[in-house]
Amino acid sequence: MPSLSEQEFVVLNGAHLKKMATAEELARAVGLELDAVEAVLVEAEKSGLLMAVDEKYLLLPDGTSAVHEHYRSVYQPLRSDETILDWYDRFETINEQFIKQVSEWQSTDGDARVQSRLLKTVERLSKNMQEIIPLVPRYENYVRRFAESVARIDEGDRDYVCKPTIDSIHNVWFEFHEDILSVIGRPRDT
Amino acid sequence: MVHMTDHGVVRDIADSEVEDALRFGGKASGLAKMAGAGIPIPPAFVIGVEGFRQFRANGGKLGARLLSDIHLAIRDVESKSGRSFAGDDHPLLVSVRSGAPVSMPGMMDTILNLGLTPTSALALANGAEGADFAIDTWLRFWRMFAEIVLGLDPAELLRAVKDAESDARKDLTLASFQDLERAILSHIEGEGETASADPYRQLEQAVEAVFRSWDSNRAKAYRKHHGISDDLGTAVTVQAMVFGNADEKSGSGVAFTRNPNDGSKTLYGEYLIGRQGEDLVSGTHTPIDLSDPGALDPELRTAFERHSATLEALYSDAVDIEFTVESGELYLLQVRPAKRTAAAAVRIAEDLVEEGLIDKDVALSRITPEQVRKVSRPSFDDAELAAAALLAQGLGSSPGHAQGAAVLDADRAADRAAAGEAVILLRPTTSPQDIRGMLAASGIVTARGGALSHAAVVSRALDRPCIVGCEAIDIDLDRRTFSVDGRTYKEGDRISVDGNTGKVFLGAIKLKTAGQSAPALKRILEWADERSGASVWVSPKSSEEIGETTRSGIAAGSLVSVTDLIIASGAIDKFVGLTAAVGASNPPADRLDALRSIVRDACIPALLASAGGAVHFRLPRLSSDRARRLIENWQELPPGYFLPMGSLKYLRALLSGISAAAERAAHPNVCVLVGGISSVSELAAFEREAEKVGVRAGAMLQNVMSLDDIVRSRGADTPIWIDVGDIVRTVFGFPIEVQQSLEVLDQYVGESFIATNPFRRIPAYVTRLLATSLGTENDAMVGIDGAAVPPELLVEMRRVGFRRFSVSLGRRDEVRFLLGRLQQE
Repeated sequence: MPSLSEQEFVVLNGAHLKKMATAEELARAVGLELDAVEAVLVEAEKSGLLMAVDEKYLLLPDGTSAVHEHYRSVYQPLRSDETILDWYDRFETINEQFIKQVSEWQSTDGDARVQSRLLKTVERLSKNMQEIIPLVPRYENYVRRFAESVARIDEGDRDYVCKPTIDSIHNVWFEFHEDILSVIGRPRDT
Repeated sequence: MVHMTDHGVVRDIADSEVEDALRFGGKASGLAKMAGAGIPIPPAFVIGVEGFRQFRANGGKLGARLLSDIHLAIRDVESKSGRSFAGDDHPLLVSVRSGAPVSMPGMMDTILNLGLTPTSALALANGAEGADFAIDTWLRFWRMFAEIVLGLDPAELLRAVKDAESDARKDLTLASFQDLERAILSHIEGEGETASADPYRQLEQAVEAVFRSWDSNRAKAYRKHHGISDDLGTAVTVQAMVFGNADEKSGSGVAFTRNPNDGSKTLYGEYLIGRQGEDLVSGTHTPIDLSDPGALDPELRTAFERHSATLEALYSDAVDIEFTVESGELYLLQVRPAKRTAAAAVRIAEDLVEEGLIDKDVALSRITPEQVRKVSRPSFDDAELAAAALLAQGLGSSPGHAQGAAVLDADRAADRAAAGEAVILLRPTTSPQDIRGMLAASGIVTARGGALSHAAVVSRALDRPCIVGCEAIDIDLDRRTFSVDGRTYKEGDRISVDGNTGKVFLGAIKLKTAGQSAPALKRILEWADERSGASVWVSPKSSEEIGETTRSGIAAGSLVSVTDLIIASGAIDKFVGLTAAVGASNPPADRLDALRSIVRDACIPALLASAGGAVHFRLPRLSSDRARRLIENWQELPPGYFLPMGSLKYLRALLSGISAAAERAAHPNVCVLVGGISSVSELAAFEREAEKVGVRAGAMLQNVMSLDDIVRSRGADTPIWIDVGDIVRTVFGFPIEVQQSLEVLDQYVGESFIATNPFRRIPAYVTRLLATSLGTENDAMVGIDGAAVPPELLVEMRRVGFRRFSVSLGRRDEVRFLLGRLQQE
């Protein structure tokens, strides 16, 4: 299987994490121009890496393998890099905190205090991510997406906390978690 | 008080002027009102928003005058609490909170426990509270100070001082406590920030941090979005901390003035003797149950009852209360409108009206459409539930009842659901990759995972019943089977899930609409009906649903599609074949008779189930999208057949079938609606046909032309329905598929191709057409068929002047509620 270019990887990884997404959604998520994203998608569809259903793209098994392969080869050095491994260990603490807060937010019908703590946690993660962005520059996109979703919530659109069908902070967080697990080569827990 | 002058910026919290939220912020205003009503609160003072303006004018620094006022106010709190701030023994600890006139995101959170020094922390450690409490309290302050005032990672701070912390815990000496403080300060300096060991300086920094947080990016963005002036400013509240672990006559807890689960008017909550509030949250100690009448000291109970009544009158609502008892003295720390379940919200709103605390309009505003939906959502039939076989027990993590075919893969679940089947997604665990299946499933079950798993979080967000951690279910994804206790089941076998109890049952348990079993909801909806003046009919899918409607006892009719009834009767294939045959040639009489029998047999059960209530039948329309899908050789039918009155023989067969059904069921209140017409003369012709067989005639308007004159020119007692979804769709020229997946249009809007989704916010052009067709009167005979549009659009139709609506059975309560709430605007 031919290996992916960085741009191809970024787009296909977006599709991999989102499962089904339109070209526009992918462009927004990975921070590339729509034209560039569409060009990658068209090529990838031709070579059988993904398919389109109702204008939404989903990876085919070959596409998933290609994405995994890219993670394996490109991020190999990071899998023994103390900086990112230490960072990840610290992330697990904040991750646990975040998931608890989301759950509490839901069970309290979006309690304002819980929401404010939850968004603090997101701001905390965005700040901490600055430490690993030199290693994985594309992570800048998650910081941007977090900020955009937090702004929506602050404006009163509470769907951006955890609605699964939009770029809610819970979704962005989950995508990031899946992403970094793939980078450092660890399986995901339940 | 000498030092807190009437025009001062720094005020005692009990000062009645502090109730002015514009000058002293929402938080202080609330506390001042409580103090004014005789509620015991810990001593506190507030720095008004004028202080913020001085801070700003002073170049982002607290001026000398403000600082000296703050110090004087601290003296005052010291004397009220009998403790000393920054003193060596019996220390006064304070909380520092922001409080703007308008609450907004991005403002500084609370800082607790400010005021300790190594000496006073050691004194605390040697007192009744104990060493762990003293060190926890102190570190909690530093953690919050580091994070909120200095912007550092609190977890890193704690890691950096871990050794010094454990030394201090082992060795209760001034030296070890001083070492701990040094370790903290040096970590902070190492991170490029500065902090002082002096509590007065810490207090100044905390106050400055509150003022600075007014200009945080999030706060600025919020103000800009909401048009709030940047000069409004924020106040700061500084309040004495009280301790529930001071002695055996102390404790802390949370109380609700009403039971937050069912709404009943009884004191509810938990009290932990000799403990701080955090112990309650962490669940490490067993609390006293406040709903047990004997559980609380009688004096304390009386105090609670008195304060509950005062607070409910103050808030006109049920409240929850965080409280602490310090050496026998009760303090209320925080009061807010109580969190409650949907069922409790409905009951409390009804009771508060009964008690005269609020009026009906306020009651309606206290309940959300989502809560109405939750209370009226389907639940298992009791008899079937009692007889059901339990398959597995898991952890109920999103409430509600559902049943369907167990499907082990998200994509297959989505496909089967799209084909009209109810499915339960059964997975070892879920991940974001399963979202398509989760959206499509009626319920979700996972074999692994806990209350915080992806499945639990997402299904709560989707409002889907969900059970996680069914360890007994063993799933074989390759074989597409699952087994429990050695018995194996196939994908597609039916299961039922109860997201409340966490029980998974074998087989499909029948679901019934629940809402009407909740008496409080019934009252609330009656008030909503009074307010809206609207009658909400049901568009049932089957005779069973008509029966359910009848049993619910709401006086309204049913608007039912004859095609739906034929589908439910199982005769649709035959009906479609005959329909095509009748259109293709000169129909022999026996075929028309067969058509007539199918219609009659399908309609009789519906009429019997309605028990004499009004039933309006929508006739099959051959030009519809559904007919196009159902009839195999649709395009070979003669074009004339697709016109509303295009085949009189066919029409007569249908009419006579319905007439025969009405006769058989002895039903007095039947009306037949012709669809797709555009002019009054078509309606007149249809009325003549209906009259021949003795049934009442009406029309379902589906195109813009029909709005021109039919409504105004028809006979006064001819029922007219307007299919508002069809009107909007045809005005835009959208195919039916677009209307059926509203998210597609939402997304289109999201990409700014169009401004709004017309099925959610009807365009002014269409509103004008509808308003013109209706004329000036609120004509009770003209209804809106709203089964295929979102409820918010019906609210708009009521505003236009319509008073009759029809929606699916599952949405009726929600729509009645929403229409009633409209009155408050």
